[in-house]
Amino acid sequence: MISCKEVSKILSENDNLSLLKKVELRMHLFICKKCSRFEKHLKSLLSGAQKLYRVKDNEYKEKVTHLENSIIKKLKEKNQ
Amino acid sequence: MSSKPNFSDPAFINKLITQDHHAIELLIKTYTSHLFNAAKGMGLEDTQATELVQNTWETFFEIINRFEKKSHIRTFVFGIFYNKAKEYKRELGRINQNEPIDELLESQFNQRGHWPGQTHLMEPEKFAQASQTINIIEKCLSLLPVNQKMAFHLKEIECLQSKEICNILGITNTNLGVLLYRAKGALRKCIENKAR
Repeated sequence: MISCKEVSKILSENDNLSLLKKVELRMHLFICKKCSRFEKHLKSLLSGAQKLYRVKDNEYKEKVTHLENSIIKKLKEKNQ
Repeated sequence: MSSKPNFSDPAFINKLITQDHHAIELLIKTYTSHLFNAAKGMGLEDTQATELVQNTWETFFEIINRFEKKSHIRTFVFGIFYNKAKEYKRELGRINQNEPIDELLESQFNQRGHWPGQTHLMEPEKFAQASQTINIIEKCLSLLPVNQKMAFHLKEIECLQSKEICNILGITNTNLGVLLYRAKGALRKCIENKAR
């Protein structure tokens, strides 16, 4: 049985796991309330960070388009 | 982005090397928003973020002929971006190379590897609500040290593979684990505190 400590490490690194590790992780999360909450918290904070990124992307859209055009223009001038 | 070509295709890379305008435009229009958003996420003002992105592309096209087609082109782009970003955020060059993750973990858990008895993790619904509040997540992210933020950004927003991120940041997988563990732990605590 893996420990809470190991579970928190696995969840933070969020890497590809072997099937065995996945099973061990699910079993632990099924019976451990704290780790199960920890996992839900991490999922929520990731989805929140991704939402923030999308909001910002939208906010920066005009500036970014302007920036893209000016970089492309500069490169064209340079290569002429 | 339905017309996006395969950026890993050697033919596409060759087009970049020979300064094919169409290929250049496609690449710039694909990654500039990512770079600008990452630069702003590091806490840079608009003018600095703009300059950083411009410098990144300038260098990119100067050294594209040195690109070894082994890695993904975005790893190359972000590698240049990260190196340039050090000029704006000096802390980025000082990623702690030696912190062992085991010691960090030991400090969070008891001897048997369990959460200490007094640990209370908030109800998930309440936590989720706070995570979706833009002001809260923005504030908590802004409090992270810049190298943790960068690792978190590349991993969870850009969704790069750990191997790619280690190449970009010039760190080991263990270092990356420490940065991510710290970043997520601090974010979690910050959101929890703000939700109370």
